[in-house]
Amino acid sequence: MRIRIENARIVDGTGAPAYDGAVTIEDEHLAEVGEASAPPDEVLDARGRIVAPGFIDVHSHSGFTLPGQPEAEAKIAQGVTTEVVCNCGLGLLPSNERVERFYSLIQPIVFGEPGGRCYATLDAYRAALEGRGVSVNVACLVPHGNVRAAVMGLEERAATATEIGHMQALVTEGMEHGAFGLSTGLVYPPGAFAQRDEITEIVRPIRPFGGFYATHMRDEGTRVVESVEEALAIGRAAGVGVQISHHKAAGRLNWGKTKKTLALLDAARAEGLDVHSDVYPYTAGSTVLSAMVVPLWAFQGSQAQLLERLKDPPTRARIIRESKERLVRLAPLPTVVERLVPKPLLVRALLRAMSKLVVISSTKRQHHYEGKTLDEMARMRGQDLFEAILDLLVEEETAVAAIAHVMGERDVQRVMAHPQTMIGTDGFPQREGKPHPRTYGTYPRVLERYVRELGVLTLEQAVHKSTGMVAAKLGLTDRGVLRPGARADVVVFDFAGLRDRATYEDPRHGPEGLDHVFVNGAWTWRDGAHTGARAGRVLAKRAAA
Amino acid sequence: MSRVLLAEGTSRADIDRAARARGWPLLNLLRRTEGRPRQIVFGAAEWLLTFVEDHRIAATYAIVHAHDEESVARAVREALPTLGLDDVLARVATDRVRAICWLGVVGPGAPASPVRELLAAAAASADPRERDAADFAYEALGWPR
Repeated sequence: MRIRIENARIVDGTGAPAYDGAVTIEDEHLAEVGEASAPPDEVLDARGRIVAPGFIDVHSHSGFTLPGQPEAEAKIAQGVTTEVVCNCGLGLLPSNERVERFYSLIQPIVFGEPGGRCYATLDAYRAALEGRGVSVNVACLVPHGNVRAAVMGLEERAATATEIGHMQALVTEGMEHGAFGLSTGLVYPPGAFAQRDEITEIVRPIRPFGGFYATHMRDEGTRVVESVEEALAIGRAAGVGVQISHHKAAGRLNWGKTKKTLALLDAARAEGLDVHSDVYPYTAGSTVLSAMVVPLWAFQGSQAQLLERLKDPPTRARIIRESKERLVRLAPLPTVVERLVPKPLLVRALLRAMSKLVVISSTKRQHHYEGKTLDEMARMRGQDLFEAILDLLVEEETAVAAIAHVMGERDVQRVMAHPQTMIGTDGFPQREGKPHPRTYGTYPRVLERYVRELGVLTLEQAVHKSTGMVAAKLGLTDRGVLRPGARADVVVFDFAGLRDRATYEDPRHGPEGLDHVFVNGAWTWRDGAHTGARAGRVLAKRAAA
Repeated sequence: MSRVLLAEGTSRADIDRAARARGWPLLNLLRRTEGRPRQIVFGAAEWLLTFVEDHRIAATYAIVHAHDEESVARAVREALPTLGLDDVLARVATDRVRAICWLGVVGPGAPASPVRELLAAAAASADPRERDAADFAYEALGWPR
């Protein structure tokens, strides 16, 4: 089958200037790019449209939901043809009973379907996804949280040499099965219990495979600079490339720190470290509520123990006290403010501000809280803020996700414009609730707002940051650029008419103006609708020579 | 992505010779049309090298796409006569409009001195050719104005 996309404006993903021409797809590959000679079986007239490589989402959490939602409509609809999953140290693999227990309590947040499950290995995950068929290509990282949970459970202590050896063996197995690197989530248990030296040892096995280290850093606010330094130190020591996940400066008093963090990345590149970051085009982040408010020690042991601690009055009082103190510590207030304003007043003011910036996005049962701020939720319940938060976590068995409006627009633009920044969604396509709109609107929003309206990027840069740059980082040699012989992952969109429709209030909408998506040559999105095609693959990284 | 500006007078034959000598496999050849400059694309699994004969700026440059961009760019610089940022900056005094255009090819990825100041001055120039050159350079570099 030969499909010719003609009269197109081609943006080839390398960053080269756009040009007019045709793109011919023959079965799974691109037969011709620019010129057209062979007679086609079908012609797609792309007059007035951009033809580009399919977007590669370098930071996705769809790995949890793809087994239950294999058509990946939220991503296909915005032009994504490949997703890098198991970011932030979390994923469905590798797994054993300890890992299963860790995740089972917070379903359905983590699973895309009732009865969802984890997979012992990447090979088992590949077999499951490809056996059922999946609409996008999938590239897996080895999630550090799973590795640590599998070996140590939720123990808050340093790993022994034997445990490190077991964890390294799991990482090696993942890389042998085709993983592209290792991810950490150093704000989430159990990954957060690991310190720098331990992480370095766990990262080392990815080096022979040419893998990279992707990290949701330990602190994206007050200590974001130190956290970038930690990530770079791990990359240097382990001899691997680094990816700073969802690079940001969280909290109003930290806005502007991306100048310093980006300078650190530039300096690291100058010394030869292969370092990049990724960004989503929003000033709000999203994660599970427990990670925002509960001190790390309370997660130790198991989810069941966490629930007991949240219920036990003396322990609960300690959690509340430490959470408040942590919040104050996290806010780098000018010393004069701390001296002049009595601490109880300070705490109250900070809590009030925080409670209005954090919005509940999904719950397990009490869906009437979805879309409400923490302040609104507490008022609805007639409770003190922290009592309400902890009660909600208990009632929902901690399965509460939230959106936090904590970033500055100038930081978002500064990070996005940086030459080594890629675009990623950080999206988690949950079945229920009001997930962050980035899951549905990241790429259209970049093109509409940051290219067309604000001019932060050129069209060619935006496409490059969403395709060719990511492919080069991953070592994907046959995707991410339009060239003869490459895999036919292609998106066709109306740049002038592209409109992102996903909002915080009503996120579950794909964009207008994104007309066609081909995955491995299969017409997967046609005239704005999913065709049902499941031509995706679970990709395997080729070992470095 | 990185770009390498070829020195004036570097011909298609020079590029062909370099490709043969280096073993660059020819991947694609795009004729010049109203909507695109002529392009010669070489590539292998790990890299892609696109030579763009950009008639708008009377220059040919190579666009490098690879995980290890620097080694591919170095191979181009070794195989063909090229101009770097210092060469282009030295041309500003004598061949200002063209040099401003070329800064769009050899300038850094993020705004930095002295290119930033040169482009700002060109954008504010009374000479429309300089303003056009600055437009091209800003667009090519993707810098905010």
